[in-house]
Amino acid sequence: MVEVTLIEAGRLAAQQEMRRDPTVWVLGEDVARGGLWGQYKGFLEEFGADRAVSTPISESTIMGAGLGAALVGTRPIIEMRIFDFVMCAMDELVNQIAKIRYMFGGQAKPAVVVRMPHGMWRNSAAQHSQMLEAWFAHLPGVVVVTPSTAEDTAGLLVQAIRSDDPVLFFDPKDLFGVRGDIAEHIEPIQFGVARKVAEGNAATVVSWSAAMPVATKGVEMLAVEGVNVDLLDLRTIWPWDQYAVIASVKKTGRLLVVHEAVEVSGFGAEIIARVLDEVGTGVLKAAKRLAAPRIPVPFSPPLEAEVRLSPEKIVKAVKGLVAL
Amino acid sequence: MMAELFGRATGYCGGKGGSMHIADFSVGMLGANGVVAGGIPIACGAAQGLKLQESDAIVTCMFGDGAVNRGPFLEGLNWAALYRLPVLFVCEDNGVAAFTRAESVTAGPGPLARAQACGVPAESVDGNDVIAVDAIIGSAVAEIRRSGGPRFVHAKTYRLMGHTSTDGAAWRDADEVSAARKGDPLIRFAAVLCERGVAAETLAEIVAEAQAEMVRARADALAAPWPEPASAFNDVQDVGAVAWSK
Repeated sequence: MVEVTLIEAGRLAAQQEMRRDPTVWVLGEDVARGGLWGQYKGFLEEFGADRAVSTPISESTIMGAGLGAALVGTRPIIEMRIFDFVMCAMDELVNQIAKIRYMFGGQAKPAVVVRMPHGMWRNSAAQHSQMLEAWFAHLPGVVVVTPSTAEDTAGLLVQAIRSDDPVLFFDPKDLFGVRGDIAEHIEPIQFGVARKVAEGNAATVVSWSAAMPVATKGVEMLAVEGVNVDLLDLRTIWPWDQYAVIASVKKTGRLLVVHEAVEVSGFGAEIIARVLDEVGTGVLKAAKRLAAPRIPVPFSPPLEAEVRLSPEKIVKAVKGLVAL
Repeated sequence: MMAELFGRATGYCGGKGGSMHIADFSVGMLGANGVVAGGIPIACGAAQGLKLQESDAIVTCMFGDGAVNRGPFLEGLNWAALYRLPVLFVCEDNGVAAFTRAESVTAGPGPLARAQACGVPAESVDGNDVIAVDAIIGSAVAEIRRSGGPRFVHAKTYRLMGHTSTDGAAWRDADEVSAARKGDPLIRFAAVLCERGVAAETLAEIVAEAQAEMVRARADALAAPWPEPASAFNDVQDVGAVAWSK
């Protein structure tokens, strides 16, 4: 085992897979320089300029070329640099990558990984802080991966690179520095399997990506007060581990979903609706979402703080649910 | 192909693509695109992927005059020139983008100059001249194989029909269309063949054979089975294909 940061965990996972499989390559802006976040450091030297490809700032073609290269049998990692720039490649992602296998009756195998570092990070303002993962869970044809730890980033990235499905991989910018233990040989982690972080009967708390450490802190504060809850990190929101969430809700009867994205039409709404469909009001007695207000992410620190979650907000939300 | 046009189970895409999304990967045909210029980045990537695998195949990408006003056109041509990718770009310029004359929405000297500005060697051809098109495509392919880099062919033509089956393009002057009809490549090439000594009966036979083949294809397509409704759920994705199942 080696202790590394989340960003290094992703670097090691990509490196392992590129060593294993010569058809895996990476393209995106500044990739040959190691990438904006150092997530491809050393790739140019090890794999050469044909497999660590620095591209023009041409998001449409970065995305579309990744698809084209997959259609002839390679497995590209498409690096978007920052999630928000994927808006410049929405045709290639939504109309082409997500649909090409279906439209062509199964002939196409769009085995791409699209890496999109998302979320708030050091006051980056409205065009560099978005969390729109729910959009993509709504999109048939893709897998949506939202890890929160170094271990999960490594295992899920290995799985993503080996997957024949197009995988949208949301690297959590705010958590790039968190550390974890990575095995010498990284094993893939299956999509759609939640990780239980805390155990309790008072409520079920579900979260993912950058909201996870905040939820964890809140749950720890509650435990000090004697309120113990189940805390689940979904790790992937499509597919998501409905079995684990429903099993927990059957035990607790109360559900809180915590995400960094805007609350309105966020994925929390889908989770609560789905659980209610399955268990009914006899089992699910109370549910709540804790997420961002429906405003763009502002620049100034005191303004950004208005959008951010806090452990205190989680404590308050769980206590409110338990009191119902 | 006809079965796909009629949405039948026996079509190339099992009836999921229709006229806009025909593909036949078995012959290297990576699919038609429902989005103008949508195929250009994909073609660049296919060429890059083939190059990475040390294949000697080249990629051909066809699009219309409307595509030159979309961002992916400029991105893709820059990309192909930058990485010296074996792509033949063919712009079929029929002068009309949907219901709008291309010249009324395209500033500057046009597609050829745009391709050249991206560093892609480009040539124009009378797209209705079968022999000229054959020659220019042949030399462009030879150049791509020799140099490894892309080429651009700007083929001028005329759209005799409307944009879609429901569009009669009635906004055009009827005289303009009937004059253009005389320039139909089938008519012009038949004349060339006649000049070169092909008998009129031989030409008539070829036309009759082709028409019979189309009639047969249409009849076969109409007789083919519809897809099973349950096949609507196939080929979405491997993992997470179904919203909820136990």
